[in-house]
Amino acid sequence: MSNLWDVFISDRLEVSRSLTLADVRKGIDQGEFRDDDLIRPAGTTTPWIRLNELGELADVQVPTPLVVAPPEMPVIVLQDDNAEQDSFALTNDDDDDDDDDADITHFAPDDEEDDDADITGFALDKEDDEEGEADSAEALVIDSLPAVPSSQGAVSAFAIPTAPWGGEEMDLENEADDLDFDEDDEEFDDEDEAVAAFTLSRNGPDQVEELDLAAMVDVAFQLVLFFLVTAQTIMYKTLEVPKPNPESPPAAVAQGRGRTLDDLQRDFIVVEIDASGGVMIDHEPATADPAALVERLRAARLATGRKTMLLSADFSTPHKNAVMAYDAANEVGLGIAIAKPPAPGAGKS
Amino acid sequence: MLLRRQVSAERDEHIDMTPMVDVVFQLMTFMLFSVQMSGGEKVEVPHARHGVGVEEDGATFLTLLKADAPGAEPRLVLGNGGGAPVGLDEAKKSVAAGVAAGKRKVVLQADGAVPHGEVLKLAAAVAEIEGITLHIGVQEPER
Repeated sequence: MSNLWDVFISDRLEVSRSLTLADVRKGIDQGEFRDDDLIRPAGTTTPWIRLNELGELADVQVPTPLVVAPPEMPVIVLQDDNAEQDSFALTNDDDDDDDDDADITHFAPDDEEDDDADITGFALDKEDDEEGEADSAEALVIDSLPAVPSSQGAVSAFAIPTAPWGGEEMDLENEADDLDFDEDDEEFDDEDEAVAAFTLSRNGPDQVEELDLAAMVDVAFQLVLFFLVTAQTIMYKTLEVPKPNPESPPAAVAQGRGRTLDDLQRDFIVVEIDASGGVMIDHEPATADPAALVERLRAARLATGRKTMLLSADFSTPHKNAVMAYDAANEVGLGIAIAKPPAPGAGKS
Repeated sequence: MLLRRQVSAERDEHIDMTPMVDVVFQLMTFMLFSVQMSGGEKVEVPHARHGVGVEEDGATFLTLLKADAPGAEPRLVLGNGGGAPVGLDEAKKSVAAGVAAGKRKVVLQADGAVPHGEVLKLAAAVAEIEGITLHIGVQEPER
């Protein structure tokens, strides 16, 4: 039986299995393995140790198999399939199905690999009957050793290179935690309130999803106040019109209008509205409709370039007709001028 | 679990803001509609698509109501249609007082049926007061 080793390469998180001492030395020489990489006998669940803690590999003897389970574990794993070890035996087949051992056997090789690994002295395979005899004898010897208190695991069993795995204290849990390989809930037993806080933070997003409506209420109240304040000032829609010239007596205006309408037509678009509401633009009849009036005014503006409308409405025509003309002029963008009509009774001279 | 229960109990103490938000938004909706409905004239002013807004507080309002009977004179009242009919002199005094108070805008709220000449006559009367701008009250066209 030759010594085979598993080497855990820390930087790549890989395990090179079933290496001989020559392979390990070669790996170290070639730089494939470093001092902080971890090594343990192949096919076992013994704790990993650093390569530099192992000392000279040449001095390493076949390790005495001693596997100490965590305190919770009911079985001190000392593998053998022979009948005399049934009470403490934990076959490799069981390892595959037993969740309780998962954290310890996390890196244990599979059954197929065990066929190669069992030559380390740990008989893990039922088919290997020859080795089983020898392992059984070793196991009995080890079994007779006093129980190893795991609470003293602070001291590494591998501090003495010449006697690794031989009757020294080992702390599987600490080693496992340091290596950070465990995935099972075993490690949560060692955690404290920090784990609870972490669990609480995971539940946080469910409650953060709720909207904080206080800010929305603030904005809404400000909008309400704004509307309350602005609603107090009522806006009236008006048309701004030029002031009539108060100095011009109506008669004078009327008299002047008769003489100068043709002259004014050169500068203004003259809109006349009679008493009955009939509309004339530039002395041509037009439809008394706002849309039609807008079109006529727009056409007149485009044709002649005049930009002001002169409204000459009859005194008695309804005010809404004049406003219609104002609105049409605003629609087209014309300025507004108002010719003051003579009051009824004033003679049209 | 204990911590989770404590946290949920703490959050239950918060007031549910949803009904308050609902009420506030209903108030906002009411205000929005009431702003558009405000400014109801008591006189049937003509319709016009274009126009400028004049605040009630910033202008002197004169109202020309159509005559009660055919052939009668239209009634001139101060303000927005309330009160007794007044003459042109009182209207000018009101406008002058408004100008003294900083209200340089004069809005003539004339009924659409009032003769155009009567509106211009009133406008010419108030135009004697310096510093005013003349506006004719209109309303949004019916849709």
